[in-house]
Amino acid sequence: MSDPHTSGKAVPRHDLIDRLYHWVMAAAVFILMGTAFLPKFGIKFEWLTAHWISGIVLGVIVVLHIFRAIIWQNFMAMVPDGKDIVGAWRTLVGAFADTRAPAKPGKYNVAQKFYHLGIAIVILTLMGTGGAMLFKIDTPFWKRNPYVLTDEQWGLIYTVHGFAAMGIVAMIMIHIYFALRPDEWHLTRTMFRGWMTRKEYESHHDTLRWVPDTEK
Amino acid sequence: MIVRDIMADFELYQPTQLKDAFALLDQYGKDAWKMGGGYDSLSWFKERHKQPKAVIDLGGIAEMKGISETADGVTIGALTTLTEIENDPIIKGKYRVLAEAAAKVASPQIRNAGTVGGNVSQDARCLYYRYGLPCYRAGGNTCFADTPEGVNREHALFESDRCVAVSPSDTAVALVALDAKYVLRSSKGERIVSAEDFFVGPKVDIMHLTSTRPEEILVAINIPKKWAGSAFYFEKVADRNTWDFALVNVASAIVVKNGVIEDCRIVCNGVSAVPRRLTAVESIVKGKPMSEEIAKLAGQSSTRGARPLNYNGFKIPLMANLVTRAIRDAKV
Amino acid sequence: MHPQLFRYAQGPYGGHEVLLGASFDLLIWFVLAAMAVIIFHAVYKSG
Ligand SMILES: Cc1cc2nc3c(=O)[nH]c(=O)nc-3n(C[C@H](O)[C@H](O)[C@H](O)COP(=O)(O)OP(=O)(O)OC[C@H]3O[C@@H](n4cnc5c(N)ncnc54)[C@H](O)[C@@H]3O)c2cc1C
Ligand code: HEM
Repeated sequence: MSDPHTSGKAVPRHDLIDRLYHWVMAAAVFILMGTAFLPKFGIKFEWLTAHWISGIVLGVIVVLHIFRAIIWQNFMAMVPDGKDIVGAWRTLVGAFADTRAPAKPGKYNVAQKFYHLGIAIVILTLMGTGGAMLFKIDTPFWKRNPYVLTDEQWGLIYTVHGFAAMGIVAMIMIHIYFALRPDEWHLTRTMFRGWMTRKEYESHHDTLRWVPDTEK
Repeated sequence: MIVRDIMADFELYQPTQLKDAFALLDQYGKDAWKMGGGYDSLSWFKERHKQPKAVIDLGGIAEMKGISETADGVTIGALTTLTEIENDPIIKGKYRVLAEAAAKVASPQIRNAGTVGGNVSQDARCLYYRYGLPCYRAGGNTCFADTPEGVNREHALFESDRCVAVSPSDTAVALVALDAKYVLRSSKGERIVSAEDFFVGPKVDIMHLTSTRPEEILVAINIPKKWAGSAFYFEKVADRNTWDFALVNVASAIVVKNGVIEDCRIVCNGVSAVPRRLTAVESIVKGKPMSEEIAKLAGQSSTRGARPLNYNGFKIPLMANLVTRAIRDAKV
Repeated sequence: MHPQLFRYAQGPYGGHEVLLGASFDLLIWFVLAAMAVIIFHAVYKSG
């Protein structure tokens, strides 16, 4: 078999560094969810150390990812544009009546873009509130100081952290469902090996809206 | 307005069979409250800080009462009163440290009705928690004691994590020194756990001092033969000599052969959320002569790693002295 | 028990109630909502 990279069959989608970001974030979020919620189901263990350390790992990775996306990557590839909205509308109406099929997406489809926006908001909320909650605990590096905020303000922070935490459980369930669907598998696979076949690229994407890095 | 000294309504059940108690626990889940003698429970109810829907008074369950010798040692029903333990010939003869600890609990009236199961399962005595403040232990998100102005002279030196409350039980230290096992039963079965798994600190569960699940009942405590007739020591230091909780207490069980410490277990309470077994001290003294110097060394090393709060620094020398005495003055 | 949205308690100075956090009784509803989305989508796609 010829090497897909040299034969022009492989269309690069996620660089190694981005795949690493994704999987480290995934691991951190799983640890955060497990440490937060397993004890609430009666599986008791020393949860907090793993929780705050994973929280900081997640925070660092997310900040790096944001810098990389803004400076070196095509930030707009993840931002919904006019065509996405029109396409989403057609899909919605198309569920009830015959309309023209929506246009093919660029690198990311509209559902992915909105999902990304949603999970970005939830994760940034968890990082912001969780980062503040680090003031409430003793670690080898600092001592707790609950006085930076009032009781009422802490109550609000814990409430927001709690709701975002439950929200992310729901969002991750939906994410895993889509990742495992056979018709999405060609995308999931790119998060492992970084590339898709040219056939997949041409049949699922608008080649004008997404021009792979190697073809610019 | 909070109404104090008048209990909120609850359903009172007085089963006489364990299986009926389990059925009630399964029915009410977290809304049920198990009650032995009631000396911890009733103060919670009167202050209205705990308002269970159903109180299951275990007092009528005969199979949870009494002390009997077994092939492996002795088994004590969880409903056995502290007075019965204090006066029991088997306990006094072979496991004296437990009789001495039971005799030091509270007052004669409380010991007459207070049970050993209730004593090891009793809740923390942190002033703020008992006052009904929304602290971590009460399900809140802060600690009022670990603060610059907090009244924390009775609080923990070790292993605290956000919450700094301590285990107040006097019998618990003696039972851990004797390597007792806790028999927890529910409608689903039985598990027998050692002290390491029975008592839990805030790192694992910030709202409970034991791992007893809502559907479980502590039915008995088994003491193995191994330490029967060893050299023992129990001492409790409190602000008042009677009717008061320990600031620090200590219990030891020591096997001495020809003046040499062959094996030992040394435990302190009042210094962390779980009875603190001093394994490092034990390994220092094992194989050494039972002497004043070794006892002193043990005392000094017992407080290594202590992290005092603003007002409980005095517990460090107190604990060191008690551990010294628990080795030097242990007697068969 | 009625599922609650928030956890509240009597404040340290008595009188007013303070907010402590979200009520984790709600977790099951978040999980059920996610399952509803998943089932709806799966049925829609297969139909
Ligand atoms: C004024 C005063 C002074 C005191 N001084 C001391 C002291 O010096 N030293 C000391 O150690 N204690 C002291 N205590 C605590 C007292 O000894 C304990 O409250 C008593 O031993 C508890 O036993 P009980 O049977 O009355 O417990 P209860 O109030 O009936 O129960 C206590 C807790 O244990 C749980 N429980 C009880 N039995 C079981 C079981 N079989 N299975 C599962 N859970 C169970 C209950 O749900 C409850 O949470 C004092 C109490 C008072 C009121
Ligand atoms: C997937 C992400 C996360 C989930 C699901 C999650 C979930 C939770 C939950 C359920 C709690 C208990 C809150 C309460 O009792 O009200 C908690 C506590 C906490 N979280 Fe998170 N969290 C996440 C991310 C983070 C992050 C990113 C940080 C820090 C950088 C963080 C730091 C903390 C801290 C310090 C506490 C303990 C506070 C205390 O007990 O006082 N969390 N988290």
